[in-house]
Amino acid sequence: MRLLLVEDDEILGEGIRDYLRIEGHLVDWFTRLIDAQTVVSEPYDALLVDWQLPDGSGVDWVRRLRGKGMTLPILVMTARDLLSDRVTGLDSGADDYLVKPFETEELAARIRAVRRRFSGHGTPRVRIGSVEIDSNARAVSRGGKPVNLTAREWALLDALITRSGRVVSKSDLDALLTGFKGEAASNSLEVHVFNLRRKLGREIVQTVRGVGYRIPL
Amino acid sequence: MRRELVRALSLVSVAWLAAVFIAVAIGVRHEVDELMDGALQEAAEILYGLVALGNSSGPSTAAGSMLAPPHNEGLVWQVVDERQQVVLRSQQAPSSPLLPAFAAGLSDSPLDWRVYAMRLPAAGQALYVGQPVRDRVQSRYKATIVVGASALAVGILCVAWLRRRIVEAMKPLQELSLQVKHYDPMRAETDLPAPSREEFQDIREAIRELGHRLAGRVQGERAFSAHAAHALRTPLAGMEAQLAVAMKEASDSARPRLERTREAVHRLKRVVTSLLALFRSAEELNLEDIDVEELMLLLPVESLAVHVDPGCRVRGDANLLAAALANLLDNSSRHGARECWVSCRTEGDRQTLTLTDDGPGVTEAQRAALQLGLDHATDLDAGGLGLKLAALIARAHRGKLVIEPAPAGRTGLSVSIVLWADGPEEAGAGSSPA
Repeated sequence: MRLLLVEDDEILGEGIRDYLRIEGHLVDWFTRLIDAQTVVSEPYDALLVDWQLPDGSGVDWVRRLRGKGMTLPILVMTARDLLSDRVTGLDSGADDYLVKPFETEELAARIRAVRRRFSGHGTPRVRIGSVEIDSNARAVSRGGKPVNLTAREWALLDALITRSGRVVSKSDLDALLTGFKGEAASNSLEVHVFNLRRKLGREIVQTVRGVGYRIPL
Repeated sequence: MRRELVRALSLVSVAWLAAVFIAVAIGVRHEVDELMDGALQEAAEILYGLVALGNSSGPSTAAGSMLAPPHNEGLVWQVVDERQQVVLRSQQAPSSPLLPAFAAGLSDSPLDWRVYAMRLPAAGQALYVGQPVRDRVQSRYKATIVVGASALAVGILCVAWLRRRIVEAMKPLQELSLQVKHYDPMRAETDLPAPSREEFQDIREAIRELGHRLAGRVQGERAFSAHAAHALRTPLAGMEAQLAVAMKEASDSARPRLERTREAVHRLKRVVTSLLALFRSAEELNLEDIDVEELMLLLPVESLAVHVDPGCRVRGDANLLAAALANLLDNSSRHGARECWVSCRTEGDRQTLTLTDDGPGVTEAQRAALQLGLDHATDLDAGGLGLKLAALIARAHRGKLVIEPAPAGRTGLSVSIVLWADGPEEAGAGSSPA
């Protein structure tokens, strides 16, 4: 997944970013709202927002984003643990509320959970034909046999699964794959789609000519 | 206060009425006697003249009484000679002398007569005019009753009116008391309205002023709590996140050390959470009925097998009790325990939550020193922070922490969080942990 993280604490922000990258996510981390606002319209899969930021309230920003019609999953992170604070945070439009200090494993699990709810898949396991995808375990099998995917292939598959049934534009998918570290510079998007089809079957990804790709429901 | 005032008024009124009645009775008796004595004397003097004209030629009966048509005599008279023989009398006068011996003026006869005696001009003769004491007593009684009853009636009416006036006068004070009882300086809708009596205005202003100062202080402390929470929690979260990354990236040889560091961070997290919860509870406890078994499921109990008695329930602040139990479990684990047993006991309002472990325990001297330090909160070295926090949490619940040797068959310690030892707390009422 591609995640937007807004956290002003350097140590915490760096720790979250690095942990989630190890988990296979692409994380854009900002310490100020003003910087995050410039990129929020890009195709992120989820937003992780701290409540108390140096240049504003993360919760107020969430409220404004929802007011503008943004539907992305949003998790609010904060040191505030009062019931009234939790209610305020969730009522602002956040999908989940994490009280610091939390364990990063829990953060990763909650991100997966809100993402599943957003995509309409209630469980971490999705079956498309003979292909079974377990987003928690990051495991894919075809006909019961495990299939190895590269990080980019997994990110591409995950982006399509969470928007299953809907067309994802080529530009969004390109942006998702841009800046991926740890692998050689990618070939075109089409190459990764070709590889997915080769490993999981042609029917797994449908081409919508001139627009993008989608995974059928 | 109203009851006291009314009671005092009633007692004073009853005493006043009794005093008035006695005064009236004494006064009436004196006046009646004076009046009737005057009438008696006057009658005697009138009769003296008549009798002095010559009693031997007057009409009389064979019994020596003056002839007259039948009539009631309020006054009777006798003429007696020197031998105290009745020589002439009125119709209803007794035939024996009214007095055993002549005594001039007013005197009381042994035959229950009030008598006025005068010497007659004729030698040795005397005139006795008498009035039945019975008539006198009846007159006193009637006069006393009439006057006394009137005074009593007026007095009772006055008391009733006074009582009603006092109740009405106290009503604004009662209303003010009720308003103060519901006054919460943190909630604008409970502000005290203007009193109906001007003399209570100063009291109202003083209470509001006190409330505003209190609200200001609470808000300041809440703001501090929020800032403190952020300042403490965020670095802890940062430590946790960095350690998680380090453990993912670390070699196998480094991972155990990182794990221990992470455990230390978790312990620090528990202490910070407990402190923040305690600080917040200075405002008020969030009381609820707690299933201890469910609560224990939320607590970190690594390397410790915890057994909870079924049906174990207490009433308290779940966050605080969770913090207390987490600290006690951590203590047990660090002191070598591998198993813990949690039980509950209720005696009236008092509830006891006991955690017993199978650790090595402590000597009796150490146990006593620990208990003394916790009871008096004076010995900063006695017991670790976890025990002190648990003791503060128990105190916040109007209770205490009790440390005892584990029961027979076990080797460790029993630590009991006694709740409501000083009586139950009303829901939402504040209790300072300090």
